[in-house]
Formats: sequence, structure tokens, C-alpha cells
Amino acid sequence: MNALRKFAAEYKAAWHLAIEYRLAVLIWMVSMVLPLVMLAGWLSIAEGGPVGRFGRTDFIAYYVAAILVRNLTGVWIIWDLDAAIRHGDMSFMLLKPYNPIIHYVAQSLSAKPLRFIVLLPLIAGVAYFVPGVNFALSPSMLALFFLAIAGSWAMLFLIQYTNGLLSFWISQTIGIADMWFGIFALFSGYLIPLDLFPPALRNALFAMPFRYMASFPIEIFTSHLAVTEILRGLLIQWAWVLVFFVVYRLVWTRGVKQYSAVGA
Amino acid sequence: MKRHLILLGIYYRSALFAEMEYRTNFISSLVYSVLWTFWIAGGVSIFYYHRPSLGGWTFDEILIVMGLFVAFNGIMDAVLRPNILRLTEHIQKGTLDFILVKPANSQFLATITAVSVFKAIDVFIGIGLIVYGLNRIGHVPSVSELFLFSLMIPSGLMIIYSMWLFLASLAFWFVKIENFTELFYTFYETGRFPVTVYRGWIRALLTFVVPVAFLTTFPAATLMGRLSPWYAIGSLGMALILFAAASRFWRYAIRFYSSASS
Repeated sequence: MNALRKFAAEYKAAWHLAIEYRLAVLIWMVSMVLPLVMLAGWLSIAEGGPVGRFGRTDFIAYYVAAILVRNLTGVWIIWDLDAAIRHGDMSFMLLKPYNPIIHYVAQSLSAKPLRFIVLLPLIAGVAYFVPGVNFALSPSMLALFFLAIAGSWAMLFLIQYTNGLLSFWISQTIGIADMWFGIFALFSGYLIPLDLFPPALRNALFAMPFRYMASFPIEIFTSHLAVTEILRGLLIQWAWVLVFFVVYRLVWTRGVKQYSAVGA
Repeated sequence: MKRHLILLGIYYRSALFAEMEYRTNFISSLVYSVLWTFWIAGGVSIFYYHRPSLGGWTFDEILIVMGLFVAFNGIMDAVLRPNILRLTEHIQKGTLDFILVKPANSQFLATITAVSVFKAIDVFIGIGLIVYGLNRIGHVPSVSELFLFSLMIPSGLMIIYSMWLFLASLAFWFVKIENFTELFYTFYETGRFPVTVYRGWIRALLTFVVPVAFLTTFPAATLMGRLSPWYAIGSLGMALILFAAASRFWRYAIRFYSSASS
């Protein structure tokens, strides 16, 4: 309960920052153009008939959902974390009576409501004006969707946070994060629907954590999954969250020891 | 003009010396650039898994477009981005005075003298991709095609420079400009595909308003002998108009600069 109160205070501060920089948030959202570029490519190809299970409308629905999911699950904290560790601000955070991760969770979630509100008209517009688009908008499906969103965010957050903690040892953490983004973008379903990969690769990606970082919530939102499939997916997804959490704990305890050892 | 070229040489040489201090960065930049190029090619290849052509271009042909995309991206990262970052810092801190009082053109000093030399690796990788693509389609460009191509590349450079100069000038009003420059990247991202992929008003926008088509699609098509020479002339005209307009806008915007002490 105590931690929750601390989180609330941190979140309030982070939220005020997000509001302060709302124009920057908007511009960052507009610059997220890669899914639209891929959509243009598929639309041009789908003029000659559907590609796999995707016709033109399916592509539009997929990439609009991808943009929504990316905005709600994206994590962009590593630059701050890396700087905090290397410049020594982490020392001050360690003095506070709670784990610094609370600060970064708050920071990562701060602009989410803003992004969601900005995207609502786009979602509504596409759902209403593009015939054949079938988003999962019933309350129960939306509840499942947001559980999957929370799971994807938790995976991406823990991965990026753990990656950032590597700054305790090395100086190339941002480079690793850039490369990780490349892998994520190609193989999570964010830029390319997983069903359009060659079957062997697709099945491999389904067995790995990748699908649960973007494709899974997109599949839910585009009404592609039945309830039982969703429940099974959520179970697997949150199991992965647990795995990444354990990895984070291991890296964190070792990193902090190492950090104080240097005397910073 | 000649004096400025000599100055530019001096600036770039000292930047190169500074970066040579961190030689391992060269290796990591190289690895990064190569991986990034494979990433771009991999992302595009998925289209060709389903169809033989994208917007009328085969995979081998699109490699030439990609080569230009990577090369121009290298120029932006090596020259334009470091200058914008430095310029906004000067404006935020009010230290642009140090540039304005120097006895050379301030636009020149403020917008192209900074350079991250290692980022230019992408230029060579891009050229490599172009040569590889031409080799795969078995086309040897004729002298006239090469001539037109060599007109379009400087035009392309002038076009990107002008777009950036326009965005940089906005820094005099909106002090935090980093986000605005991201907007140009947003449009530039569309250049990884030939402009024929896009439909209707988006294609018109990318040809005439934010002329990304003149950077990747048209030079690639020219090199393959697919375009009339008029495109090269149009590209040069577009570049000159944009350059003149952007330079004028810069001179207007700089009047709104207020230094730290005044």
C-alpha cells in the first residue's frame, strides 16, 4: 500500500511533465510513421488481390491497431536511466526510501492517457468510416485487450529497464537498445503481421516472447482471436512477464552492489 | 566561395582528428550501419516473399532506391543532425553570438561546419548497395545516365539541406527544436520505398511539397535509364528554389535571435 502511495506521488509529478511537454508528445506520435509506410506498401501490393488472410481493409485495421498498441505499450526511459547511472544521479535515487524502478514506471506511464485520448478519434474514424473494419469494442473484449496491453508494456518495460541497468558495467547500453528495437520492430508484429512471414519463421516467433510484445494485443483488437485463445495467450504472456521480472531482479541486485563498490 | 570551402576543410579535418581519438567507435558504427542496412532490406524482402514486384519495382531494382535512402540518411546523420543540435543549444544558451561575430557567412558557420565523421559510413554502404543492385539487374549506366544522376545527387543534397535549414530556423521562435527535426525524418522514412507505392495525394505531397521522391526514387530510375532527362532538370530547379527560399527564411528568422546578455 505504501509503495502504491509513493507510486501515486511519482506519477503525479511525471504526469505534470507530460502535460508540460504535450506538444513534444504529439510530435513524437506523428513521427511514428513506419507502420504507415509499411501499410502503404501492403496496400499497393493488395491491389492485386488479398495477401494471405489480409485484404485491404484487414491491413488498415491491423496497422491502426498496431499504432494504438505501440503508443500504449511503448517504453522510452533508457536515455534517462543510462544518464542517471553514468552521471551519478542514481546515487540520489538510491537514498530515497523506495526502489528507483517506481520512478521509471511512473515516467513510462505518464503520457499514456494523453496518447490514448489523441488516438481515440483515429480509432473511431477508422471503425466508422472504413467499411469492413471490425475492432473488438465490446466491454469484455476491451477488458481482455487492456490486460494484454498491460502485459506487453510490462515485458517491454522490464526488457528496456534491465537493458538500461547494464550501464552499471558498460557504456554501450543505448546501442544495444537501438538494436533491440530493430529486432522487436521486425519480429513482434509491430511492422509486419506475423502471419505473413514464412510459416516456419512464424511458428518460431509464436513460440518465442516476440508475439506477446505487440502482435497479441493487435490480434485481440482486430477481432482475430476467440476468448479461449485470448485467455491462453494472457497466461503465456504473463508467464513471460514473470521471467523478465526475475532477470531484472538478478541484474539489479548485482548492479547496485557493483555501483556502490566504485564509491559513487 | 573558395574561402568557405577551405574553412569547411579545416572544420571537418579537426572533427576527424577529434573522432580518431575514439577509434573503437568506428568499429561499432560500422557494425551498426551494416546491421541497419540488413534490417531495411529484410523488412522490404517480406513484400517480395508474397509478390514479385512492389510499386512496379523488383527486389534488385529496389536495392538501388534503398542504397540512395541509406546514403542520404548517412549525410543527414553526419552533417545535418549535429549542426541542428549545436544550433539549438546555442539558441537556448544565447551563445550564438560566438558564431555571428565570426568573419564568415553565419548561415554557413551555423549549419554545416559540425560533422560526425563516422556516421558517414552509411554513405559508402549506400553506394555499395547501388552498385550491387545495378550489378544484379545487369544494367551498366550510360554516360548520359551517369551525367543526369550526377546532377540529381547535388540537387538532392540541396533539397535536404534546405528542408533542414527551414526547420532549424524555427528554433528562433520555438526554442526546443529537436522534435521538429523528427518531423523531417518522418517524411524521409517514406523514401525507403519508390514513390510509385504511394497513392493519390500522398504521392503528390512526397513529390512536390516534401520532395522525398527527388532523393531516392527519381535518381534511382534515372540511373536505370527509365526517366526522361526532364526530371534531372526539374530536380535542379526544385533544389535552387528551395535553397533560395530557405536561405531567405533563415535571414528573416535570425533577426528574432536574442542573445544571453542583450
